Amino acid sequence: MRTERRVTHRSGTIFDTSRFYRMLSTPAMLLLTFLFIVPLLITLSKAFISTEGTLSFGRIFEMMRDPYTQRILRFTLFQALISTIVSLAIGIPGAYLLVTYSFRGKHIIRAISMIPFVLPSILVVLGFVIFYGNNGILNSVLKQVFNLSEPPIRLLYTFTAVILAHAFYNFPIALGLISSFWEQLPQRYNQAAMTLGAKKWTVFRTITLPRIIPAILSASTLIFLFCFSSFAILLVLGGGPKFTTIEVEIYRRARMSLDIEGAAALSLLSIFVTITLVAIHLWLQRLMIRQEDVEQIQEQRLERKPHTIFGKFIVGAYVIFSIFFVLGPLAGIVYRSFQIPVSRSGDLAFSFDAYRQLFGFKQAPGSFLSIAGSALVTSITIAAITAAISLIIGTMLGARLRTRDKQGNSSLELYAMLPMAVSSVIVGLGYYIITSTLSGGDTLGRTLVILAHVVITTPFVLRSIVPEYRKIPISYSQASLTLGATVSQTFWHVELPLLRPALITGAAFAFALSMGEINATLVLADASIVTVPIIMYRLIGSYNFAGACALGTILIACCAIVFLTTESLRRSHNG
Amino acid sequence: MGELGLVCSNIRVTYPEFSLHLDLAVNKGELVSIIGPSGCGKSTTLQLITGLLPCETGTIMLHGVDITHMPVWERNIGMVFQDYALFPHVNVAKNIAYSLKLKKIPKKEQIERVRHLLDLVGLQGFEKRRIADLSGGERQRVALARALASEPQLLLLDEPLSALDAKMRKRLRQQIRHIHETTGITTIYVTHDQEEALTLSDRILVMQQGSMEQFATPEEIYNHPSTLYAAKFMGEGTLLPHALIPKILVSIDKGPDTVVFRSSGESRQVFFRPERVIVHDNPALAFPEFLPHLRFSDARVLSCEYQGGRYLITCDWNGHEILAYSRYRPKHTKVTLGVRVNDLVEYVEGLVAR
Amino acid sequence: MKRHSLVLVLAVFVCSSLLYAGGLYETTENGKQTLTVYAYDSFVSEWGPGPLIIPKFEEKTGISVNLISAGNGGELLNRLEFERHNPKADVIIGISHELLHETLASQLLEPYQASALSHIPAWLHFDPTYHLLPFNYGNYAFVYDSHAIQNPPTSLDDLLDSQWRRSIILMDPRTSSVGMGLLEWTIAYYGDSYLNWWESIKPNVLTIADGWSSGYGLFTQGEAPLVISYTTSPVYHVLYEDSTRYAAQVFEEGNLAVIEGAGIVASSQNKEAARLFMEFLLTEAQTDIALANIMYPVNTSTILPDAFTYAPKPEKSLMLPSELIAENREQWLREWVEVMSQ
Repeated sequence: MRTERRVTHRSGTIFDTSRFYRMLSTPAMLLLTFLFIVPLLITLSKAFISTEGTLSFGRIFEMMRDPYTQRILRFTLFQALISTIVSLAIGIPGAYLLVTYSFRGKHIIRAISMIPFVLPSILVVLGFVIFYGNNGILNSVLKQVFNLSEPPIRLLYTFTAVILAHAFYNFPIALGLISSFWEQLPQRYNQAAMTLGAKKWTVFRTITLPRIIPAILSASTLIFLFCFSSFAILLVLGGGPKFTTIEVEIYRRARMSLDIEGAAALSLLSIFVTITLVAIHLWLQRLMIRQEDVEQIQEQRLERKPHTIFGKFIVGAYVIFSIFFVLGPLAGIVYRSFQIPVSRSGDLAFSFDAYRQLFGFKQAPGSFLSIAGSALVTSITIAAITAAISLIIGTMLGARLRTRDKQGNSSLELYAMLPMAVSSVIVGLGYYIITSTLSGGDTLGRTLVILAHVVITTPFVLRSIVPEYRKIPISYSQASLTLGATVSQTFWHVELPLLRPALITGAAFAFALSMGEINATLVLADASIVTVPIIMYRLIGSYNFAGACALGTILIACCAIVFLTTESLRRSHNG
Repeated sequence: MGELGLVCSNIRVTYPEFSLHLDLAVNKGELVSIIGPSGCGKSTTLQLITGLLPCETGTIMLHGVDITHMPVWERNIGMVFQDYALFPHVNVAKNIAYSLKLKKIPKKEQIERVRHLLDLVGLQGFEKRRIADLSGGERQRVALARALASEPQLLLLDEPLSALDAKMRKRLRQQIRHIHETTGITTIYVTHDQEEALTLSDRILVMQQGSMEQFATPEEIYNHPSTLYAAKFMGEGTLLPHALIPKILVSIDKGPDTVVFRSSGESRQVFFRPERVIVHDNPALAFPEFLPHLRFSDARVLSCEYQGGRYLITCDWNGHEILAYSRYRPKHTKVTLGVRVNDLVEYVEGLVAR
Repeated sequence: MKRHSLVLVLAVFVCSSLLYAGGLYETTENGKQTLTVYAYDSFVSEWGPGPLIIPKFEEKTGISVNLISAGNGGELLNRLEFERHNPKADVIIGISHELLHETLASQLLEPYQASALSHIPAWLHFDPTYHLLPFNYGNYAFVYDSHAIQNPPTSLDDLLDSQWRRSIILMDPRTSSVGMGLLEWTIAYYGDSYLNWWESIKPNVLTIADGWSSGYGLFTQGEAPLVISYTTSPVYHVLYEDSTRYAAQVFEEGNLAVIEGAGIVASSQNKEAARLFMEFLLTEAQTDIALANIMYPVNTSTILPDAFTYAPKPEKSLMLPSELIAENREQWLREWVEVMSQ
C-alpha cells in the first residue's frame, strides 16, 4: 500500500497557528503550575537557606561535596539502572510473544500485569514477603513437596531481592508500552529483509529493534524514575542501610530530623539528576522517531498460534512465568487476608473474619456504610473525578504537543512529566506549607487531594495519549477542515473519537493510580477524607495485617476490574 | 475565454527546498492538471489553495471572491487527499455526510444527497459499509463523493489514483472525467503520471522546483513543450544537437516547406517524439523521399521493446541515441530513420526557440 | 461525540459539587465552640483512641473537637512551625520526650500544670517546664515467637549469640522511631562503645525495615522469630486474637522508655477548652488510650484489663536526656549508617 506523504513545512501549518490548540494547553499548564511547581519551589527554596538563616548556596555545595551523599547518589543511580535493565530484559521477550502469538488469556495477562504498578509500595513489600519469604508460600510449598527442613529459596534481604521486586513492579510497564507500540509497526520491512536472506534473529536485530527503540526508551525512563525514588522496597527487601538511596535520606531529614533545609537541598540535587534524565530521554526520542509510515489500512497483524513444539513451550513457559511473577505476591496478599490467628496457639487458619470485621465493624461517622465501605466509596469517587480531570488535561496537552516540530513542545512535555521526577516527600512538604497558610476546612482538603492526584496521574495519561495522537494522520484533520469543520470541530468530531482507545487506557491508569495513592493523600487529607490506602496503612499500624491484606485484596480486585474492562473495551473498538 | 474560476496571483512562498511562485488562472468548469516530479510543489500548491498553508504574499480569488485570508473551513473547497483520509471510525454514509452535518442540513436531505452521490460514483448501496472493508478503488470514490457533498466551487485532487493498479486507474480516470462533466465543477488534479494528465485535462500545468514551466492544453504541451524539461516530462523523445542538421538534411527542391538552416549556438538542440519518426528497414524498398527532411542512414538498432501494438526501437546513429516507434519488428540491424522538420522543436538552453 | 463530552464535563461538575456539598454538611456546626487538635495518624485512625475519646469529651463538655491527623513525631512540630503566623491548632498530641529540646526551643507551646499530674508518677514528668505533658508511655522490647523460641534472649549481649543468626528484625533509626529507640537504648546502656554492639549484631539481623509496620508484618509472617517492638505488643494478640503466642522480653539492663506528650499551642484562641481537653486526656481518656494504642496509661489510677498482665514490666526504664539527643542525633545516625553499611 502506498504510504502517505506528510506535508510538514517549517513555516507552520494551520494547526500550528491555530488559536484553539494554543488555548487548550493553558488551563492545563496553570493547574500544573499552581499545584505542583509552586509547592515544589516553596520547598526547594529552603535549600538556599544556610544554617545561619541567610540566603546562600553554601548548603547545596556542602551537600554535593559530601562523600556520603555522593556514595548514595551513585548507588541510587546504580540500582535504578540495573532494575531498569532487568525489567526490560523480562519485558521485551514478553512483548515479542504478545505481539507475535495469539493465545488464550493474553489479554488477561496484559490487564493484570499493570496492577503492581498502581499499588502502594507497602503492599508490594508485604506481598513479596508473603510469597517469597523464608516462611512464605513458595518456600512452604517447596518444603512440603520436597520434604525439606530449611527453606530452599532464600531470595529476600539481598540486592537480588530488591532488583526482583523492582522488576515485578515495573516489567509490566515495559511489556505494555513496548508491545502496544510494536504491534502497530507494519511488517513489510521484516518481510522484505527475510526475502533478502536475513534470518529471524538478524531481522530482529537490524530491522525491528531499531524501530522499537522509542518505546524502549519511553519505558525505561518511566521505570528508571520509579526505581530512583524507591524507598520501602529497598530497605525492607534489601536488608539494611547498605542500600540507602537518596529518597531515604530526604525522607529522614524531612520527617525525622526536622531538617527541612537539608531535605530541600538533597532534593534539589536529586531533581537535577532526574530532570536531566527526562530531558535526555525526550531528546533521544525526538532523535529516534522517524516519520513512521502510516498505513491506510491498519494492517491486521496476523497473530498465529504457536505451532512448533518449541514455540508452544516458549509461550507456555512465559505465561507461567509471568503469572507466577506477577500474581505470586498478589496471591500472597489475598491469601494472607484469609489467615486469622486462632485461639491461644496463634496458628493461622482460614477465616473470613478480616472481611467481616472490616465491613461489619464500626460505622463510619455520618454514613450508613462500614468504615471500609465508605473508604471504598471515597476512593472510587476521588479516583473517578481524578481520572476525568486528568483525562481532560492530558488530552488538552496532547493536542498541543501533537505538532511535532515545534521547539516549545519538548519543554512542555518536560514540564508535564515533572511530577514523576520529584520525590513525593518533597511535594508533600510543599503541600503542607501551602495548607498551613490557607484555611478552608474539609472542602479545601478534598479539593487538594483530588488536585494532587490529578498532578500525579497526568503524566501517565499524557504518556498514553500523546503517541496515539501523533499517529493520527494529519490528512484526516486536514480533510475535516476542507469539509467545513473548524479546528475545534475537527478536534471533537475526528480526533477525539480516534483517540478513544488511548483515552480509555489513560483514564483507567489514572483511576487505578489514584486508588492506590497514599503519599500525597496522607499529607493532605485530614480525618474527613479516608481512602482505602489510608485505612490499609492504619490497619498495618495497629497490628492488623489480615485486615490490611483484606483491603489490599479489595484494592487489587478493583484495579483488576478496571484494567480488564479497559482491555475488553479496547478490543471491541479495534475488533 | 471562459469565466474565471480560480485565480492565484503573485503567490510567492519560500521554503528551504525551493521557492514557490504561482500565477495561475483557471476557468470555471475547467479540469486542470498539475504535473511534475516529487517535491516540485504540486501538493504545496493545493495546500495553499485550500488554506492549510498560509499565504505570505499574493491573492487567491475563487469565482470573484477573495479568499486569501479566509479560514479553511469557510472556503468550501473540496479536496481528495492522497491517502483519501477517510474517517475510520464512521461508516461510508457518515463520512460523506460529514460536511452536511456541519451545515446542519436536515437528516432526510442528508440521506438523499448521500444516495445521490454514491450513485454518481457508482457505489450504490454502500451507505453502511465500514471504511476498513473497502478496497482501494472504492475508498477513492467515497473520498470523491465526500468532497463533492457540500457542492464546492472547486475540487482539488491530490494524486488520487497513484495508489491503485493500472486497470483501476484507467477505469477511475474515466469515472472522474464523467463526474467532472456531470457536475461541471472546476477541478484541479495533481499527478505525476503524464498519461493521466494528457487524457483528463482541459489544460495542464507543468511545474518544476516551485515554478510554473508551462500552462497549456495537452496537445500544446505534448507537441510544443515550451521547455526541455516539460518536453522530457510529458513523454519519450530524442534530443540532438542542432549542429547535426546539415549532415542529415535531405533537400527538397519543391514543396511548400522550405527549410531554413539557421546558424546555431552551441547550446541549441532539437527534440522530436518517437511517433514522428519513420522507420525504414528494408533497403530493397525505396526510402520515401518526399516525407522526411532529415535522414539518419544506417542507424543501428540497439533494442526493440514491444509495447502492445507497436515497438519502441532505440537506435544508435553516430553516437546519438534516437527513439522511434515502429509497427513491425525491424528485420535487420540497420535501419534508416526519417523526421520532418516541422516535427522538430528547437531549444536553446532548455527553452523553446522559434 | 460533542454530546458525550458535555455529559462527561457535567458529570465531573456534579460529582465534585456533591463532594463539596458532603464536605460542607460535615463541617460547620454553628454556635458551638470548636477545639482543633493535631495528633499523629494512628491516634486519629479508626482503630486508634481518637474515635473513642472524642465523642465522650464532646458529650461531657459540649465543645466540639476537630481532630486532625498531622503526621508523626517531628512532622507535628513542623506543621506547627509552618503555621506559626496562621495558627490553627489548639492542642497537639504526640510529641515524644526525644523532641523536648526542639519543642522548647521553638516556643510554640504554652505550659500548663494540669491537676491530673498528681496521679502521674514523677519519673514520667519528662518536661520540668510542663510545656509537654505525658499521656501515655511504654518500653521498647524484643518480642519473640514462642513457637520458634523456647529460650529467649535476656539481654542486649545475649542477642549477639550465634544461635540468633539471621533471626532478628530491626528498623532503620533514620526512618522509624522504634529504630531510633533501639539506637538510643544501646547508647544508654553501652555509652560510647555502642557501635561495637551494632557491629556484632549484624550477622544476626535478618533485615532492617523502613518502619515498624513492615517490620512487625514480617515478624507475624514468620520470617524471623525476634523483632524490636514494645513490651505491650503481646497485649494486642491476647485482646484481639486470644493468642499468647507472641511474648515480650524484659532485659536485665533495662528497657528504653518512650513517653508521649501532649501540649497546648501558645497561639491558641481557645485556652480554656484546651485545658479542659488536657485534663480529660490525662484522666477519663486514659483507659481508651491504653486499649487503642496498646501502650501504658500514665495515670496510675487507670484500670487496665487482664490482658495487660501479658506485658512484662521492666525493672529499669532507661532514658536519654533530650538535650543529648538533640545535640548528637545527626552524628549517631551517621556513625550508625557507617557501621551498618559495611
